[in-house]
Amino acid sequence: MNNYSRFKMSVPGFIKGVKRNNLFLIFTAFHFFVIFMVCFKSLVHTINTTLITKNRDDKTKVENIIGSVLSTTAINFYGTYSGTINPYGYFAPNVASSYIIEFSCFNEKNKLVSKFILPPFKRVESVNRYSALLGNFQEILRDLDNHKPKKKDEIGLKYLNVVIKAMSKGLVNKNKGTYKVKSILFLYDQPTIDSFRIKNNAKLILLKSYEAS
Amino acid sequence: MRHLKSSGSGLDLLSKIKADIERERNTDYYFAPFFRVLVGLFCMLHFLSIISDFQVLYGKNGFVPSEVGELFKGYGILGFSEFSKLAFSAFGLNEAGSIILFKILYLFFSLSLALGFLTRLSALFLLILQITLAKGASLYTYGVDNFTTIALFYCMVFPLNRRFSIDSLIFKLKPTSISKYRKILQIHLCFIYFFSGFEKALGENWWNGESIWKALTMPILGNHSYDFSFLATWSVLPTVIGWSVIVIELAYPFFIFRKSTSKYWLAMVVSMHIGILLFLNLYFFSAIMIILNISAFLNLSKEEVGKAKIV
Repeated sequence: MNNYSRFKMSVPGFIKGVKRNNLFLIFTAFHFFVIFMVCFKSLVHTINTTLITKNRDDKTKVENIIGSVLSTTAINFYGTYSGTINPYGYFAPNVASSYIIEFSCFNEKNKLVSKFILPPFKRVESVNRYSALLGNFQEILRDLDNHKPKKKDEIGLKYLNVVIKAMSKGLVNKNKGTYKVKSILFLYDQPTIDSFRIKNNAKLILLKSYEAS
Repeated sequence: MRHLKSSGSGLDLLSKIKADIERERNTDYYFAPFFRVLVGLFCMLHFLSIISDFQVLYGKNGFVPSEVGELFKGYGILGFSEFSKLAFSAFGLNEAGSIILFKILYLFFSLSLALGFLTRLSALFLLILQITLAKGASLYTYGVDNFTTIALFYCMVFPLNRRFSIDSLIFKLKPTSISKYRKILQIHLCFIYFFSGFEKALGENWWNGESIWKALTMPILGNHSYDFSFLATWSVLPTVIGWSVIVIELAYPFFIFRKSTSKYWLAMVVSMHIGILLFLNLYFFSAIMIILNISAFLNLSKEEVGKAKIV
């Protein structure tokens, strides 16, 4: 048997046996490597910010290193399409605060026409999605908490302002007779169990207001 | 000598693990059709749940216009506005037309995945469409989207078309070992719950009941058909629920694999998600978590499923 025919015979076996198993193992190892890195980074962040520095913006070296690995184009792409790029600390370490945007529509005589907090959604699931959108406004609260935003956060804050303005402008354009929309972002200040017991109810704390006409 | 012995036992352990992974388990017999059909139907129902609000959520003139909502989408993600542009350049469709096309494609691929018709291709296209909404308009994204992506990715990677599928009839596919793939899903769930529980355990409010209280009395998310003010009087209740959530999640990897505790742990996790479904209005988040859990750990042997049929 010459080398060529030996090679020819070995190919199908190689593909069926060794290659398939190895591919499976390589895929599994890589898959769990990404999952572990994402989870570990999130855990390090939570430990650091809840137990050590108590500052949500602080990042450890470990986080930065893992973050730079995970943000490489290939891993980020894989993570996005496999659902492994997001950490799993839902409602952790604590349940986040809630936010409400109140939209007030005025006519050309500056008379209040309508006031609402929920867009015209028909389904509960859409309301859940809107609630997820409102969760993004946590950044604005952090900004108002006398914290100097980093450059990256500044872009995020500007973006959130653009989002509210776009929503308000959309209401002006879509509703006939509406000339001005005032949008107010509130923090829904939920009482703790103890303060609820002494008859303290939920309060709305004004964070920012916007106008579009 | 000792060194050789220890490396030998190390190899033994490795080969044992490898053999365990490779072993075809009777309990996994119906895993492929079970997981595929549930994920396909879930995607269909989840999409139908927002279909009437689709334009308001993702459209060019939506509540948040798509151009603004898609501003920070990541690399390699197709936003809905790009999908619209593609539909326009390929078929001359305007936005309303591209919304209809998107809806048809999403529902078609969900159904074809459930039926096992061109399974992997259907899962791939459905995944692309799902990511278009979930990552394209990431402002609206929450937990359910991430888990749907995970489920669809596994539908694309795992050989789920070998049993009870149209593919197996058309292409005369032979059944293949599915156990090692199910193992991946099981281990992934262990990561999910362990790290989720660990991070919760670090939050003071999960120990004193405040997190449960806060979640249940949220202004938009909470289910306001119930009045939870009694929890302030019986504050031990939210505290115990908070502890239970931490224990269930943190100990998940340790008890879900044990034969003696697996059933009970699965029941507890499913109950926890039913609680989230009922009291937080997160129907679809809970549904996908229940689907992932029962697909991963329910006994899906011929005998068990046969018994269920008789009952």
